[in-house]
Amino acid sequence: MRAFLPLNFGTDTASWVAKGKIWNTPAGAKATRVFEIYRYDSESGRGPRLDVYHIDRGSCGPMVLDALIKIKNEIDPTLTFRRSCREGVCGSCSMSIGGRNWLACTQRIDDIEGSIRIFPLNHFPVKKDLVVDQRHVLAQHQIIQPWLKTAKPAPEGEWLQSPEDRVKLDGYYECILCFSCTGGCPSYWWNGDRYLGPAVLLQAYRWIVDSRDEATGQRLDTLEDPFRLYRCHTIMNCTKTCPKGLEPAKAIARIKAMLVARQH
Amino acid sequence: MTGTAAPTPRIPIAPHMQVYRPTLTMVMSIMHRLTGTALYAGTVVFVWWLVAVAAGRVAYETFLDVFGSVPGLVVLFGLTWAVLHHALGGIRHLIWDVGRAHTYPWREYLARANLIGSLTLSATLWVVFYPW
Amino acid sequence: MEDFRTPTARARGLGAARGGTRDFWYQRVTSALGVLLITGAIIVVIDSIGADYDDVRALLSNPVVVALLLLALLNFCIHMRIGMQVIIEDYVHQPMAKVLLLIVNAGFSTVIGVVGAVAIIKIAFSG
Repeated sequence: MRAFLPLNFGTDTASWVAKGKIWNTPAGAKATRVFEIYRYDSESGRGPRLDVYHIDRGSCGPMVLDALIKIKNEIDPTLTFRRSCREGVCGSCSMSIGGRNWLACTQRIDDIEGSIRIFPLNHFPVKKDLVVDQRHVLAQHQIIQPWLKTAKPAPEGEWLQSPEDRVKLDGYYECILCFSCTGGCPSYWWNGDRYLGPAVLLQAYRWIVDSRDEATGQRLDTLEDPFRLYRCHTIMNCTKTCPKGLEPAKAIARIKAMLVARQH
Repeated sequence: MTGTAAPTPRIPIAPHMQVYRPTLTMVMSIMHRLTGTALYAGTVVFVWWLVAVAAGRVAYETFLDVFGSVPGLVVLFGLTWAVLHHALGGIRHLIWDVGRAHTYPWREYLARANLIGSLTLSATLWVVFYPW
Repeated sequence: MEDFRTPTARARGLGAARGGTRDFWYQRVTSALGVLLITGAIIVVIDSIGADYDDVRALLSNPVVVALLLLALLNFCIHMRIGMQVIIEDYVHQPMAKVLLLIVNAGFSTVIGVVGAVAIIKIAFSG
């Protein structure tokens, strides 16, 4: 069955999440919030589990990342996660929070009702706890060659661009590559080995529309593939789960429209 | 692969479908696929109807008997809804394909209009045209 | 079996197929035309409700109806072949099973189209 169905259609026993440890309620806490957090340690010899923590909301900062740091500092120093800027710029702390992907540093605790369930980015291989293995998706990012490609030698000053052409990059250059969208895309779940996913395709579009770039056609050639591009079925999870408010689905629609346009 | 070699450590994959909170557009995408699949099978009913008319009075009476029965009518109503839902869903996708209505709340309005439209249209068609 | 390919080798895979746009475009064309054709087909079906056999035959041998139904059949057989192919490619990853299902899909869509067309033509030319 595993060979027949897509990878991890719920048939992969190594990925099953067991019930984990319930950590003690802090004494004297007035308003506690329950956090259920995915834990996995490859050296433990056991599979993933879901640990339950109780956080005193009164002595915790407003964001989910504040709670994670509080757990690591005060309750369980082995909890592992990526974070850096804690202000929505670096893209390190993207994870599955309350059933969608967001940056832990910009997700307010009070915006989530009930128990707050936290998992690593959906469908990524897990290295430890909330840290995922991004080697594959970063290799996919390399495929689209995310840099200015020109045959003409670089000018002494800058590559010139009209304000009108510059505006075309708005809504696309802001991507911080947190891969929230890619983790939230069902098409990426079933075909992530071949489908490039929303983040990489949005980046591809950002270079395709850049008026300074001279490799537009070549970029489209690289994407013209039933799996790399056309696995996108406009499910819209990407656009809804982008913590920067970008629209990967629209970028992908535009790429498809360009591929049609150059045929006719 | 026969179990003689030492098992390689299997790295878990982070949970996805089972922990993702269903979104309306996601559910509508699944329904678009399900109705499409139903219509794929439903073409047999349509071709059966054509063949029955071509074959003659007896074959046509048989067709009417089968699809005049309760299970038959349920299938026909289901196909009516599937056709309308898939057609409206197709329009929704065409709008998205030309880059319109990607922003909130328009994408949600589209998805809702799709569902409400298909249900009311199929109910209306049956109330008006079925010889009750 | 351990996979020792580099992430780059795995991500590049067999390269870009330089295809998929035709199917994408045909699927959109057949869906846009399909909205019109299915509306026509629904009207024909509604028109046949409660009619006796001879009336249905007369209806289905009307040249406009014949043309409409033939076009609809062609349109939706293309549409459903592409649609089901996308579903198979999405979910079925075992190579042999995938190829087999793709063939069955192409066969089913063709058979539906041809059988339906033969029925329509027979009705059209035998009054």
